[in-house]
Amino acid sequence: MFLLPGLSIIFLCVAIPSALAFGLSFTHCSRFLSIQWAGLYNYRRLLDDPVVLKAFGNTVRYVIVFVPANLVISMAIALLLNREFRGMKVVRSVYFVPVAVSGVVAISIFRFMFDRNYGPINALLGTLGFEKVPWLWSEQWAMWAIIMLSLWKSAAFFSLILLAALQDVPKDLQQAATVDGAGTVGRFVHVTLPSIRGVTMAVLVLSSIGAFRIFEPMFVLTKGGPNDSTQTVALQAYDTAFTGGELGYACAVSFALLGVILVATAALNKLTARHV
Amino acid sequence: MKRRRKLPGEVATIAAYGMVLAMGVVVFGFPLYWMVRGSLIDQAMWMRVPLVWAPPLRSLSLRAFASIFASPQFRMSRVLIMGLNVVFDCMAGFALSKMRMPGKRLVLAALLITMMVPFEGMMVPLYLTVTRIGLADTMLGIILPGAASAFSIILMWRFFNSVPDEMIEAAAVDGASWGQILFSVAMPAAAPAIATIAVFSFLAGWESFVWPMLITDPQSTFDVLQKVIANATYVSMGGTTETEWAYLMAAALISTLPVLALFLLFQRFFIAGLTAGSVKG
Amino acid sequence: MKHAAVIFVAVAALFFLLARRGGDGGRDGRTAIEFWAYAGGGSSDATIRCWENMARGFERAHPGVRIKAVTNISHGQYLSVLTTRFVGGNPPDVFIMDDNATVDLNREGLLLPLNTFVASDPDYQLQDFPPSMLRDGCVGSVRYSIPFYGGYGCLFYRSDLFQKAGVEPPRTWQELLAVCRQLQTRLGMKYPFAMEPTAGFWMMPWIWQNGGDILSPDYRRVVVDSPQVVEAVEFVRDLMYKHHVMDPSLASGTTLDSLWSSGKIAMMINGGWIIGLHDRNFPQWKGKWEVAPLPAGVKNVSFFGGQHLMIAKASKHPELAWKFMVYVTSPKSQLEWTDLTGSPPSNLRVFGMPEFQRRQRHLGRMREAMLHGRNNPLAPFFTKIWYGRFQSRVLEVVMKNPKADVATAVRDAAREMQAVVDDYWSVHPHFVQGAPGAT
Repeated sequence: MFLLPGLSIIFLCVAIPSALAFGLSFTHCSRFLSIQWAGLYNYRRLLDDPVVLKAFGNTVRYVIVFVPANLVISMAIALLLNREFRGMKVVRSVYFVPVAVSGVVAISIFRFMFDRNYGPINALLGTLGFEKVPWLWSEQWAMWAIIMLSLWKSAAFFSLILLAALQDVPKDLQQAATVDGAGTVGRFVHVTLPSIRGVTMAVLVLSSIGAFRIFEPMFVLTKGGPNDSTQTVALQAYDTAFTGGELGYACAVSFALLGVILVATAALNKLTARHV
Repeated sequence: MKRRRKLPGEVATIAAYGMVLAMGVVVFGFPLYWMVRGSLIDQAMWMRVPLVWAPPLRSLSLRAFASIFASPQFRMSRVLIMGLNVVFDCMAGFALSKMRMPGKRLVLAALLITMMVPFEGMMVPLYLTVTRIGLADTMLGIILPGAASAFSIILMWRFFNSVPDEMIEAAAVDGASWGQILFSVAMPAAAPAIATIAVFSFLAGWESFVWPMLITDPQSTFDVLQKVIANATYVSMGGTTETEWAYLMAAALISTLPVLALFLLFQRFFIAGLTAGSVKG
Repeated sequence: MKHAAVIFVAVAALFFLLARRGGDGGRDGRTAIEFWAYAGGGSSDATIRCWENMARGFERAHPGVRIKAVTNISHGQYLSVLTTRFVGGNPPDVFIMDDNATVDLNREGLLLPLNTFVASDPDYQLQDFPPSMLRDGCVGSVRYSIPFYGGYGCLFYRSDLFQKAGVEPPRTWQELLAVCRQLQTRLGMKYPFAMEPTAGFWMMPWIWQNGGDILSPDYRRVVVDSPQVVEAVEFVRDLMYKHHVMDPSLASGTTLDSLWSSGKIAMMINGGWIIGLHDRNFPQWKGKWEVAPLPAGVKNVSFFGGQHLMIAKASKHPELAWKFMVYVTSPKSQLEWTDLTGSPPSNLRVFGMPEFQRRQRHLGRMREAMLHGRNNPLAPFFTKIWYGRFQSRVLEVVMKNPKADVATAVRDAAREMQAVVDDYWSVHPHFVQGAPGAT
């Protein structure tokens, strides 16, 4: 009963449209909704479509790099911020900025950061003796630039969640461990980590799902280029639907992604359940 | 209590810690500088390369802010969305965590699955659904899709799980109803999480730009700030001559500062843990 | 339970409160028609103001009519939002749309044919408008849209530097090379020329000028795999790596704006639509720059396409909509458009008006480009094959790597493009293409 408002909104605004979209994936549908039955045509086509396949490849590779990095960095920041001293509140607020800034604006800022000639990142590389990297214009580096940008935003957010979770680590357990002779690392591994297991798992699962759906940075910065090196599935879904006007195909792509995410999440659960 | 002299090892650790912290401040805080500088300079200065890190005071102007404040009625919808979102998600998360009911795991799994469909795939069917129930061009139509989020529900579920059952039972024994339990016991205990999802729902993701544009009559005065950001935002690579940068930065700053300020002020809710003593004994 | 009940009542009250509609109320007995245009094409503020003026001007000339103008949607969202209005069944009466989209709209039968209006209205003369845009507005012999504004590419150059070096703006590809060399020797400029080498959009004029093309006139065959196209691509690449007159880093992130702003280049190829904004963005070059038509290859062709006006078939007031369209394309309105937004007019008569000649010196030189213009093929799959395949596979690869073989890249890209085209035709066998756009 308590569930009612939240669940019914989700039902209305997510479940029903998703079901409709699933239905659409079996049709040819123009942007003006003239529909024509297509059966499995769209699904067969996406298996042959080099750009969609590349998008899936890119997305999977992105997830594999992003999710662990996100967890490690978020945890590190959470530990860093888990102290009290004068001014720490302000420091935490600064670490919070990536979360507070609207995603699209942050991305525009990063475009400047990664600018080949005038961006601070290349300037830093220059002073350290490295050659300037044409970040967003290079097939090898564009995705890395986006990964960095996503980590920047995401780690700030998840570190807060982990920080909140760290507050709940029972102090008496920690003291007991110290008395028993455990060092900082020992305390961390044997007391802290297990206490925040639940939240850590949530961070893993939620950030994975988010990572599979990554869209904004590519949309604003590279539009999938150069040469489709930053093409992702969500971006392809958008392109086919709104630039190409093929709604049915876009829905098929979206649901193929759903399938992949389901498999990945199930695998993740299996992997982590063993360590209970 | 006398403060003892710090050992050299300790000093080194503190110094290292400070350095890392400071690096983070620069890396994460950079946008603040960028937005402030960007909103005060004019278009020509934006185009100037190499970058002028500290433009002369003479060349700064508050024009961008003036034109934004001149428009009426901004910011309303995001606050509403945030409020509803927090309330609904907490209720749902709490119910899933603490109340007995059949099919819990199914509901959770279904929620997780609904998160997996990318918004772009759902956008058109969502529009059709919302308009068919008559909510086109209404405030409710704008905020409805954002009023509950599977992500937040699942997060709240996790956090409520870590609230000890004994606390809940103690309150129930004292005669509190579910509602009272939720609002006076469970929510304060999970305050950090609540603050986090409040911020999360307040953020402007791509969907929250496009959705209001889709659902409202573009002439209506809903949410001017959102429209400003959306209008100025979609810059194609290299094609920067059409964006009014100062305007965009001013709008971004206006939407960022309140969130930051709230975070700063209410930070103790983030640091709150379980109130000591409520469980012992 | 009590608390929960209170919550629900509160929420229900909120629900009813919020289900109120936004937008303007107020009926005042006038006939209202709804007009849509997107913000941009220069500067959003200016276009919005311009449409405001035109709407009020029209209302003054036609008392009893109210124009509800929706003009603040940015280009990126415009098509989506407009589409949803069509899908919802209440489209605007008259609206602006890119030429590319007319084919889509027409295929769905959403546009009103305009032939009778054009034929019977003495205030509207077809010869006042650029022929290529007029062709774009037709499918076969049925006219679905009329031109409002066309954008083209032009050569921007620093007149002060040209004077110093004693050179004239190049009119052909060979002259371009010669002028660059003279700028290098006489002024010591390293890379005098610049354009965006990896942009499919800017490659089109080079290809056409060399006699190549992208699609066959019936839109079924991809004809980009030809020596003329390869030559054109190679010529642009050679400018960077063989003749060294163009900065190769333009292919990997350097922007035209930064080069122009810092004065490192004397010429750039950019859009006519920035002419009005130029002095605001680059005040340092005020009075020191000019525009010229693109240097011609074997043929003299420039890219030319833009916004059209059209009427929705579902409109209840098509005659009023038509009158509004005539009003905004009249010389007086077009002059106002140019003055406010700096974008070129489509009504050719404006070029003869003394006020225009006085105030818009730069635009005046571009009349030729408008008459030699052509548009890209108006096919729904064009964006996908050109930007999604040709640009990605060919331009983004060969422009960065001087050793990459252009012919192979073009051939492979052409194969992928043909697959997309074939797939489209198999799903839409009854597709009727727009104007083939041949010159």
